[in-house]
Amino acid sequence: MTSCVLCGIVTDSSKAPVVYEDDRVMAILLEEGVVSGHIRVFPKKHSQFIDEISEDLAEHLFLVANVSSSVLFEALGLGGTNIIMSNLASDDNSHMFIDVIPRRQDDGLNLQWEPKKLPEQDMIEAQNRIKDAAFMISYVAPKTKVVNLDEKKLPVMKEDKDNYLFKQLKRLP
Amino acid sequence: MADPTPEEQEEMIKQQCPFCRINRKEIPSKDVYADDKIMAVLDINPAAKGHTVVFPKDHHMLLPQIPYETFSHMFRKTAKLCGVVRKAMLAQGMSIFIASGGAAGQQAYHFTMHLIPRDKGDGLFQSGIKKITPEEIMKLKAPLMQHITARVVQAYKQAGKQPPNVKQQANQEEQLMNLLNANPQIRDLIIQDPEKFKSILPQNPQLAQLFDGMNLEELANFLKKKTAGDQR
Repeated sequence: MTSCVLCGIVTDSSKAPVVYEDDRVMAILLEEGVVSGHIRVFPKKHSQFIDEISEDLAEHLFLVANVSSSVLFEALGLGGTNIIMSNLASDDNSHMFIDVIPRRQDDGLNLQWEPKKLPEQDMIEAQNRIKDAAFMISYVAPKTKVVNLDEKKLPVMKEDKDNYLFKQLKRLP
Repeated sequence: MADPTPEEQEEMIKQQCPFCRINRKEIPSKDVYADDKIMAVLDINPAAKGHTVVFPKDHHMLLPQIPYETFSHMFRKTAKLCGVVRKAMLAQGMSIFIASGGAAGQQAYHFTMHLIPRDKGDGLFQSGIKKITPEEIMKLKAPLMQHITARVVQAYKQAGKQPPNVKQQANQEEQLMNLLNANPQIRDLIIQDPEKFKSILPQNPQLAQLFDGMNLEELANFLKKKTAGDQR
C-alpha cells in the first residue's frame, strides 16, 4: 500500500516524530492534531480492523496506548486523557490506529456523543444480535481424541474351534 | 463515629458503584457478553444502536490500575467483541472510546470502555485539527519517547513477559548524525571549540534537547577521528 501515510512512516521513520517503536508497533506525535501532545499508536503491518489482527497485537497496541496516556498525564499535568480507536468506512481499507488525546478541564474539545434513547424493541434486537454472536468469543473447541490407526492394533481373529463364526463355515450342507 | 478505613471506604464504593451492581445483578442490564473477568452490556443512552460498554468485573477506576492479567484478557476479548458488534449491527466501522479523568468525560468511578458502531457521516469524535508548532513537538518528543519506551518495557517485565524489541538509542544517535551531516558548521564548531558550542546550546532548545546529557569533549574527539578517516 504505497499511498498509506502510516505505512510511509513505518518505511521511513524520519517522516514523523516517533515517540515509540518496536518490531510490531509505532507511536508518533501528530504534527496536526487535536491538541499538542496528541499521540497516534498503530501497528506496523497495514490492517484495517482490530478484530482482524492477532489478539496478542491488539493487547500490545492498547498497552502502548495506555502507557502513552499515563506518561502524557504525568508529563503535561493533565486533567485526563481520551484513548480512541476508530475504524471507519470498510471500503477505503484505511490503516487502523489508536489516538491518545491529552485533556484539560474546560479545554473546549467535544469528544462526547449525544446520548440517545432507543425504543425498547431496538435495544432488545441489538442485544440479541450481539449476544448470539458474542458467546463464540470464549468458545474453546473441545479436544477431540485422535485415533492413530497405524498404532492401534486391530483384533486379529484366530481360528478357534469354539468360535461360531468359524464353526458355521465348516458346517456341512 | 470513627472515620472509615480505606478498605471500608473501598467496600462502600463497591456497594454503590453502578457497574459493580450490574455485575452483582442488582441492576438489570442488557448483557451481551460475560466471562470470569469482564462483562459487556448495552449502553442505556447509546450513541448508536448496538453501543456496548465493556468493563472489568473487579472494581478499578482507571486503566493503569487494572492488573496485567485482567488488562490483557480484557483487550484480547474486546478486539474480538468489536468485530462481533460490527458484523452483528452491519456497521461500516467501529470506535473504541476510553475516557480517563473527569476532564476527559469519565462519568463513572468504574473503568469502562465504549464500543460504538460507526457509519459514515455520523459526526462522532470530530474535533478541530490544528497545526502543532515544531517547537512544541521537539520539546515533547525526546522525553516522551524515553518514558514511554521505559514504561512499556517495565510493564512487560512486571508481568513476567518478554519485553518487545524496542528502538530508541539508535534513533537518537541517527538523528544526531543526520543533523551533523546536514550542518557541517555545527560539526566544525564542536570539533574546534566544544566549550563555545556548549555556551550557545541554551539559546537553541532544539539543539539543547538533542545534546542533553552528552559529553561534548568525547563527541569532539569522535568527530575529529571520523573526519580524519573520511579525508584519508
